[in-house]
Amino acid sequence: MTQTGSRPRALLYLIPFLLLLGGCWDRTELNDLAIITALALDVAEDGNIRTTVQIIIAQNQGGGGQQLGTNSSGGGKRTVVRSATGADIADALSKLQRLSPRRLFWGQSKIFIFSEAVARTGIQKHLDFLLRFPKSREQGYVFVSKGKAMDVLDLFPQIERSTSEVLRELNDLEVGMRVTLQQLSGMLTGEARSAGLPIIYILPKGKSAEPFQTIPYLVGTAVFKEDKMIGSISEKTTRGLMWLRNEIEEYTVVFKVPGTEGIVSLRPIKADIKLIPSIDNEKWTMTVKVKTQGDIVQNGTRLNPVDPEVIKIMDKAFGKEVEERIHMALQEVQTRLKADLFGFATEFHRKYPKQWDLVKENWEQKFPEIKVNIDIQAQIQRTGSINFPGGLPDEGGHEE
Amino acid sequence: MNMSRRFGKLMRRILLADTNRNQESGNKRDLGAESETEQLYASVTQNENQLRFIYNNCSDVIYRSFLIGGKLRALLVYIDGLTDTEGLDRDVLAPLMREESAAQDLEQLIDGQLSVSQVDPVSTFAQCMEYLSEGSAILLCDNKTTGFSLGMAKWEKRAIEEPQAEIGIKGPREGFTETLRISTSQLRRIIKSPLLKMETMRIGQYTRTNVVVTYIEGLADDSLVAEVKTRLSRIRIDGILESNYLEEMIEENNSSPFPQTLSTERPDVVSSCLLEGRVAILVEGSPFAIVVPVTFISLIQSQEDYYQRSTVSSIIRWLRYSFILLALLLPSVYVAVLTYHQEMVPGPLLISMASSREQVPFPALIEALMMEIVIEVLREAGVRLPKQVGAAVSIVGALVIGQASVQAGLVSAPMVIVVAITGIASFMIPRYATGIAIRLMRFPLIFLGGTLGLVGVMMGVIALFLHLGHLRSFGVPYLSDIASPKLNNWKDVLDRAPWPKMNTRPQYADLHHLRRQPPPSASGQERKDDN
Repeated sequence: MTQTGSRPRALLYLIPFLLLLGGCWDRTELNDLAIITALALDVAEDGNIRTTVQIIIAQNQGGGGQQLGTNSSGGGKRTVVRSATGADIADALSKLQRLSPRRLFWGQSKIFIFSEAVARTGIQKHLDFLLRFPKSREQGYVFVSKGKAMDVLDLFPQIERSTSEVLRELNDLEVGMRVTLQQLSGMLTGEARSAGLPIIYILPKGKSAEPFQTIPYLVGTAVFKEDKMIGSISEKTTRGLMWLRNEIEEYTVVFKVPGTEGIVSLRPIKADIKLIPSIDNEKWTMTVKVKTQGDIVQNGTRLNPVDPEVIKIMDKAFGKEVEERIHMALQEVQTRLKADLFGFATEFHRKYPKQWDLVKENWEQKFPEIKVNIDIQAQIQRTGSINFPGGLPDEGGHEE
Repeated sequence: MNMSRRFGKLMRRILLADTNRNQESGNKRDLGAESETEQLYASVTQNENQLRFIYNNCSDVIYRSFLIGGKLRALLVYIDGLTDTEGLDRDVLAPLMREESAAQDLEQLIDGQLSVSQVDPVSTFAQCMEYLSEGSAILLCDNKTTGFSLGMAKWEKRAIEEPQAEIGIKGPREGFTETLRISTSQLRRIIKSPLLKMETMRIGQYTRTNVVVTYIEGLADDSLVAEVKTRLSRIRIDGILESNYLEEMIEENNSSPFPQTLSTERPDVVSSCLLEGRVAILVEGSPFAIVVPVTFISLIQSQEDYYQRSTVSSIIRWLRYSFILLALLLPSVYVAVLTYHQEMVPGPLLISMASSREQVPFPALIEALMMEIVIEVLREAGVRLPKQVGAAVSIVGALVIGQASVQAGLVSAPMVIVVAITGIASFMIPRYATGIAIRLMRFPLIFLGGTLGLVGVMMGVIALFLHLGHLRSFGVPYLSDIASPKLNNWKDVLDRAPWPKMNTRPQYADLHHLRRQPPPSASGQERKDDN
C-alpha cells in the first residue's frame, strides 16, 4: 500500500509549489495604491479636457496606530490633488499616472464632477469612458460644479476626511437630486432624454478658517437635455421637482394658515405620488395624485391643532403649499426649460404605447403642451408632544 | 540441566515469536499465547525457579516463601508497589502461617481462612504473569499444580478530578482517570442497565494494555460493535501508551487532519454517546476515551449544549458555527481582499486599513503568515511551559504581538485584530482535536488567498468540503448530518431541540431502537417502533 500510495501523495505535496509559479502576478499591496476618491473634469486652456483626481494620503489619516510615527496626527493634509490634461479622459488619465508614484486605484472613486463648462458642451463622450472603463464605479455620484470642478477637490474640510466624503454625505441626506452614474446614463438614454444633476457651490470659508478650509455644498439642480446642460433650477424648485419624482424624504414644509399670523412647520413629510397619464381627444393630460402626511414640529400661530375644525384648515393650507411648490417646479422645468425630468414620457409610453410611438420623435415639442392636474390629499397626522401652542397661556393649560 | 534447558527453550520461543512477529502473526500472537501451554509444576521450588527465570533482573518482583501451618511449603509472589502488602501480611500470611490443620486442602484453606474477595485459580505461567502484572499476588504451594491469584491490587492512582481539556460550567465535574477500572465504574454509575456491556481486550506486545470496548446492547448496531472489535484485534503493536494510538490504528483515513473519532475525558459525554448507539473504547493508562462513529457536526458540539436551556444552546451553537467559519476564513479573506480586491472594502474602512499599513514593510500575505505562526507558537509554548513560566511568557507574547510589533511598524493593527479574533474563535470549538485541525487548515487558505485571491480561498474551501465529504468514520459519512434530506436529522444541527422533542437517535444507531422516548401520544408506554 505504501508503495502505490507514495507517488500520488508526493504529487499532492507538489501542488502548493504550483501556486508559487504564478508569483502573485496580480497582487497589489495596499501600500502601492493611490486611492482615488473623486474625479473632476474641466475644460483645459487649450480646449482639451483636464482631469483632476483627489488622492487620499494614507499616512495622514490618523488612527493608524503608529503613535511613535514621525507624523504628528492632524498635522498634514489628508488629501492631495493631481491633475493632467489630454485629448480625452483616457489620454489625460494615462498622463496622470506619471504624476503619481503609486498605482491609481479607482475602486473607491465614488464622486464624479463635471464643471459647468464641460456640462454645457456635452457630457456624452465623457460618460462613455466612465461607463466603459471597468475600474470606475457605476454607483458613484455625479455632480455639476459651478465654476471649476478641480477647485472643489482642492478644499480641506474640517469635519470630514475629504471633500469627496463631504459630497457623498450631503448626497446621502437626500436634500437634493441624488444621481449615480448608472442612473444618469439611464435618464439620458430613456424616453425623456433629459436629466438633472445636483450643482456644487463652494461655501465661503469661515473667518477663523485657514485658506481652503471649507466645504462644497449642493444647491439646486442642473438640467440636461440630450447630453448638454441647458440651465439650472433653484433650490426651492428642486424641492418641487422632487415631489414630482417621489423622492421626498426627511423634509420640512413651512406654510401660512390663511387668516392668522405666523407659520406652521411640518416634518418629516411622507408623500406618495402617482402620475396618471390620460389622452382624451388628442389632448394629453397628466394627473399628479399626491398623498402626503406630516407632523407639526413648530406652530407659530395661535391656533390649537387639536381642534378638528382648525386642523381641517391647516390641512388645506398644507395642501396648498405643496401644490404651489409642485406648480412652481412645473413652471420652471416644463415651461421654461422644456426638459422632462419628471418621467412623464415613461408614463405615457407605458399606458399609451401606440400614441407614444407617434410623438416619440418630437416629444420635445409635445412635453410643454401637456396639461398637468394636481390632486392633493394633505393631512397633518401628529401634533407633536404638546397640543396647544407653546408658551401661550390657555384655559386648559399644557398637556404632556 | 534438564530444567534450565526447558526454560531456555521457552524463552527462545518467546523471543523468536517477537522477532518474527510480522511473519507469523497469524498464529503466534504474543507472549501470553506462547507460554499458555507451560503448566505449573507441583514443586514450589521449581515454580519459583521458573518464575525467577522469567522475571530475571526484575527487582520489583517479590518472592515470599513460607510454611502453611509450619508444614506445607508455599510461595507468595507479587510485584512491589502494585499489591497491598499490608493486606497481604494481615489477611493472607498471618492466617495461613498460624493455620493448625496443615493437612487440609489449599482450596479449603482459602475458603475458610483467607479474607480476600477476588481469588482466581491459575494453572499456567502465562496466567501467573497476567495476574502479577495486574497487581494480584500469586499463592503457590507444594503438591499442587494449580495456584491462586489473590486480587489485592493496590497502587497509587490519581484521584478523580475535573477534566482539564473539556471544561464546562454546567454538568458533572468528574473526568476519567488513567485507571481503567475507575473509568468503567464511572460509566457504570451513570448507566446502570446490565445492557451496558464492557468487553476487555489486551493490546500491545509489551504493554499488554487493557482496552475496554463498551456499548449498550440493542442500541449499538451489532455490525458496528463487531467491526470495532475486529479492527482492534487486528492491531499488532508493541505498546499502547495513549488512546490516540488506537485512534489512528482504527480510523479509515490517517492523513486527514480531521479526527474521525471523538476523544473525550468526560464520562457524561461517553454516556450520551453510548445512549446514541455509539461504541466507546477505554484504554488503560489514558483518561481519554474514544467514541465511534462520529460526524463532523458531533465534533463541534459541546456537552454543555445539552445541559443548558435549548434556546440558549441553539443560539450559542449558531455563534459557534459562525466563529468556526471565521476562524477558518477570516485571515485568508483579509489577505485576499487586501491584495486583490481592494474595491470590495467600504471606502472609509479601506482608508483606515491603508493608513495603518502605510509603514508595514511586508506584503499582507507574509504579514498574516508571520502573525499566525507566532500565535500558534505562543499557544503551543503555552501548553508545554511549566506553570510558573507560563504567565510570564503569555504576557511577553501578548506584548510582543499586540503592542511592540505594531509600534515598531512591522505589523499593522488590523492584522493583529484579525489574528487575535481568529485565535480566540478557534477555541470556540469544544473538541481540541477538531479545533486544531481547523486552525491548521487556515494556513493553506491564507496561502491560497495571498496567491489567487478570493478565487483561491473558494478553491480551498471547496477542496476542504470535498475532503470532509469523502471522510468516513466507521462507515458513517463525516458530513451525513448536514447532508441529510430528512428534517428530523437537523434537529440537533441547526438548533438544539428541547429534550421533550429529542425523540430519536441518530441514524447510525440500531435501526430497531431509534426512539429515545415514546412519542407524546403514547405516553408512558414504551414502544419499540421503527420510526
